[in-house]
Amino acid sequence: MSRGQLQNLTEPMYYLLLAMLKPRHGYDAMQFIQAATGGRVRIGAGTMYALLARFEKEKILTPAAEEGRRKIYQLTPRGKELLDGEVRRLRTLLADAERIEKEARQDENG
Amino acid sequence: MKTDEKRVWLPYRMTEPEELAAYYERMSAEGWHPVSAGRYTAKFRRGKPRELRYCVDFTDAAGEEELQRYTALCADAGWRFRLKARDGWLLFSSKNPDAEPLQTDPRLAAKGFGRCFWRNFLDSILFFLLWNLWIVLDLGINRREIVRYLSGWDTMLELCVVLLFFMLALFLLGNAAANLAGYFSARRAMKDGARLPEISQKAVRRRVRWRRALAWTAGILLAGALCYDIWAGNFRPAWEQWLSMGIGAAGIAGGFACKRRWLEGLARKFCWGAGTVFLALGLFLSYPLYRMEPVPFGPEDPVITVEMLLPGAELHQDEREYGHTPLYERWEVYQSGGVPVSENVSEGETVSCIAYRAATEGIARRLAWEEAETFRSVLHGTAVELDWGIDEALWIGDFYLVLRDGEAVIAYTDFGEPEERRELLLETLAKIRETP
Repeated sequence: MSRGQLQNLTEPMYYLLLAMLKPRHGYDAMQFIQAATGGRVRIGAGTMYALLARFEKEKILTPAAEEGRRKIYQLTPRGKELLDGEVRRLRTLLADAERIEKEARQDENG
Repeated sequence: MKTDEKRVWLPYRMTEPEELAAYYERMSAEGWHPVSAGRYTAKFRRGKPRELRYCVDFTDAAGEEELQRYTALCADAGWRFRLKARDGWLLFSSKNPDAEPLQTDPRLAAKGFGRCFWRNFLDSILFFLLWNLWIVLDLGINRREIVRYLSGWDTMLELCVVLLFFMLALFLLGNAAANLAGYFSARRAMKDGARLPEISQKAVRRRVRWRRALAWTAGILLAGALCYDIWAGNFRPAWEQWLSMGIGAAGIAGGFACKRRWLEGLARKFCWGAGTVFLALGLFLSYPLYRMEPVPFGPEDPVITVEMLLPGAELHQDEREYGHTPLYERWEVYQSGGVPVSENVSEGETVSCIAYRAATEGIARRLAWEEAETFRSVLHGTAVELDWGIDEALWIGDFYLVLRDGEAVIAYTDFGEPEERRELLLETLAKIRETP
């Protein structure tokens, strides 16, 4: 995963950042994502670990506490910024889609 | 009596993770559960047959602590950590047939796999290069005309060992190439999220046969090389070397006795590392020529001096010492009547006789061998006859190479007709040897 890829988050990355709005450990985040998406997005433990390690390295997440061998993570200001940026981007995409769709319908109706 | 544990040849490579996992599933169904996995072999323990789902995983988790975190996360997700293989891959099992796969992102999975593979591959390549470097530099195979050397059974044995080592190295190279091909194929499939190519059972059986043959060949070669060295007097450990090898063996054995949890496995690694260093050092220094063992010449040993030279001959005298103790002495009587007229042609005659007096027979044998190698590299196309008795030495081309009573003597002439030089050479040799 290159730095460039973080500009556009993949679906698992996006939901992981959303999950980490509240401090969680990896498995907790996996369950949260599965529940929040109705089972549509599922992240395996190996993938979750790789994502957490990468986000920690990129200072997007930071360890908040430890529970035995589990590490609890939380979003850093940089992570929050990244998530906000992604939400803005998605809103813009949605707004564009709605506007274009609306214009197309108006054209059809004459 | 049924044994509780068995070690088998692993039929699959790390580049075939799906096949490897399926293999472990079959073994578990037969009641054999994984204990450990090396590069080519795996150990199983007998238990109740169980229908388990296995997963071969490649992770970036480095170090004991990170690995524990990772396996804890996997355990939460229903995957029990079973072992870490010598190649770096991890084995997990799950009772739940519907457990979420460990890797759900094909790109990330392919990246982890790639890193794990390259770490191993570079290890293998480095080992292969060092192995061949040793063969080429130390044994001088690059300078040798092999066929003409096969005149004595001991020389032939040594050469066979060298050549077989070389073949073994080629086999390792072939194996590495197959791994590389498997890697690219597997990585492509992983990235596409497709199933990996299947391997036929015939190919698997052939692979296991080759691996078994490789191990036996390596074992026989190592034992043969050591036996030869002991016989030839090359391997002569003094008490320091025995001590070093003893410490090394004890360290390695101690490593097996150490529990993994002690200092997070560091105690075990330290024992193995230090043990290997001591053992290797002991073995290496047991070769007198390398360590230049100081074996003094006693007062009863005759001192060779050359009182009378042949007309026009020059005497070169040389000696090698270690800690002020002679290791060997070398004399060369060089009679040059030849005048080079081109690179390869000379008019007149040049005669040379070389005599060694070495501290041990092993050193003498080695010196004679290396001397012949040196001259061979200078004089291309020269035939060499090896014989360990001067009276039985045969004149084949331009060389005599003889060894007797711990003394190596090489005689050669590089110009003129060999038969014409025979008397002159024997006379010169006799003078060197008989001078009090």
